[in-house]
Amino acid sequence: MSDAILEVKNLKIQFKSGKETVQPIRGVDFTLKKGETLGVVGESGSGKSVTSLAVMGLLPETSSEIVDGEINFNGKDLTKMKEKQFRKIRGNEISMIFQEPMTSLNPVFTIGQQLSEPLRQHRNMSKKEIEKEIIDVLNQVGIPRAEQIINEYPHQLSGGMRQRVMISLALLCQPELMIADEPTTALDVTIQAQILELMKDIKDKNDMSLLLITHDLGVVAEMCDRVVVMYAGEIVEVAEINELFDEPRHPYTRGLIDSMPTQNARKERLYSISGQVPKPNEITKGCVFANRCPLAFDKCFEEAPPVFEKGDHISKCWLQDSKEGEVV
Amino acid sequence: MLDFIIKRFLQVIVVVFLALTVVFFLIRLAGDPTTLFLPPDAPREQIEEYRELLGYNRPLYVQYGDFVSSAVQGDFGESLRSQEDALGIVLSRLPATFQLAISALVLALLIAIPLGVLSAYKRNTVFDRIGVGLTVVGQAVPSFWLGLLLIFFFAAQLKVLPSGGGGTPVHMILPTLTLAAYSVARFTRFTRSAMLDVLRKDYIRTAKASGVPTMRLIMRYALRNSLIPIITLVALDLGVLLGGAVITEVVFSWPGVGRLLMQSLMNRDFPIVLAGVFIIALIYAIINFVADILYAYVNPQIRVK
Ligand SMILES: Nc1ncnc2c1ncn2[C@@H]1O[C@H](COP(=O)(O)OP(=O)(O)OP(=O)(O)O)[C@@H](O)[C@H]1O
Ligand SMILES: [Mg+2]
Repeated sequence: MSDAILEVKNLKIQFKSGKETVQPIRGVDFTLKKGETLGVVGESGSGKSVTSLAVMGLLPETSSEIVDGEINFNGKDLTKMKEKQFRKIRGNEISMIFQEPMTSLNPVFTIGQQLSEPLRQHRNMSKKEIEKEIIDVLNQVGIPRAEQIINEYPHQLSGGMRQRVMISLALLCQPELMIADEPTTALDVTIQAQILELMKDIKDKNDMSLLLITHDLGVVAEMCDRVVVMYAGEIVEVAEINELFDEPRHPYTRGLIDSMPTQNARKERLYSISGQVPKPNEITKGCVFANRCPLAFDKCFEEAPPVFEKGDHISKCWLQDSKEGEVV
Repeated sequence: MLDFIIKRFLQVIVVVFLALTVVFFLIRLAGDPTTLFLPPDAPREQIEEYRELLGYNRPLYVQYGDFVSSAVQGDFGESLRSQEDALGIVLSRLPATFQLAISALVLALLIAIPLGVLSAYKRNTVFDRIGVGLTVVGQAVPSFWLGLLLIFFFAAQLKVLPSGGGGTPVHMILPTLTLAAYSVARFTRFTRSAMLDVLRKDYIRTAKASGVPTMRLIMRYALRNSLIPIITLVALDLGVLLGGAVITEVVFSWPGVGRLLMQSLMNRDFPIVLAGVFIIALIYAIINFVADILYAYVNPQIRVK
């Protein structure tokens, strides 16, 4: 408990639009230890962004609701926190880098104006000190001509530069926890590598914990200590990084690993998991992955598997059950 | 930026020129004014003489050419009625029109922007629903009807405000309210939808993630982004308020350009009509020109290349 910075317990989130309600997050549990990089992987639509927005308290106020569960940050439950207190944490103790670098910066304010906001809100600093701090951080994330950049507008910067600006925005108050939601997905490959490298450096230097959300197992292998595999609003497997790649227990994880392009072995055709993530309103009884699972058997369609724990390795698949005894 | 300004300025000239040309030919369709200024039983020769004196007997294109060449020198001729300089008469009425339009605009903005912002912030609450309902009504009510209604209550029944005329600030209250009503409704709706649009944007989420409190988020960040479309609308409406105050001016006997234009049209006092159209078109075009520059100013994507 003491070494956990973030504990998400049985989190359930629903969205309302008109009369319809959907529940894209249905009982999510995971723990992020201090100083750790925890990866969250899963296909598009599995609920990664919704989960991370919930941690930041940034879910749309009117249309969404946390129906159950806890999000404990340093022992305090964020789901019960008043907006006024929560605001003191945002951008200060927890910060977030968003998936969309092109639209996440305000087009009518300069970079400097936007970057000054976290310091203005959370630190008692003069304008001069703020500017100096911003330039420092911009230099840290490898932005050239920082003194000029602060007077420029987002549209004057490339995508890679904007994401660096977003990273510096997240870094300004030296948060304990940084959430990065697919920080490199929108960028091209060479820039991706630079940004990841940068994040790794920064994390080590600043002694932060990092929640790294991605659908790319390659990124996970590069960056993470442990991995949470999400599927259709549930967590299907949690394991330490090497163990996950060496001994994946859930067929979905195996599918993800098999569909990774590898550099040395050029397969004729990439493996891919057939079918799609079910929409939140399409989920019925049984295992969420059953309809796409190559190993599914009758029980999988009847009853959702519980969590099987073997040490730190957790998975949610009937094939772990010794009674079934037919682990492939 | 300078290119942009020059290009837009040339457009102003073209717009004014086109407006004058269209009106010049349109009013000629209504016949020539000579008959109106002579007694009905005037002999033919006298009418012809009078037409010749005023130049209305020449071919239309010659008259047009003549009109254009003097108009570019700022000469719109003399009023057929009072023989005074037409442009001078129009200009003397301009301050009254401006006074009314500006006060209506200021009133509309003062009411509409806070209302629209609040409506967006409290969307789908009772407050918002009532607000939206009122704006629909506000946009649907014709201004002559609203004007008459206000006169009925405040001037005829309660006898607290004058029903017409100009001069004192008290005289301005009813016409200003009448003229502002439509703009209040329009601006409120527009501000609300612009704000709703902006509040959904990723960059607002980013600001919130930096710990910006709700009030600042709305008043500084979201409002600034919404101002871009609002400015355009306001500019368009200021043109409408200046040129379109005709009905309000007539209802309240307000001594402005609109009422003058209406009266001159009835009297076929063409020089004044043309001078009036010139002034209104010029103002309209210049306002749009200024709005574009302002727009570029608040939107760095245009300003900073
Ligand atoms: N504001 C919302 N209203 C209704 N449903 C939503 C909303 N935001 C997300 N959802 C639903 O929640 C589910 C999970 O979405 P989420 O964005 O978390 O996926 P993701 O794992 O981040 O995917 P991606 O890799 O594409 O970013 C989806 O089915 C989506 O339709
Ligand atoms: Mg996402």
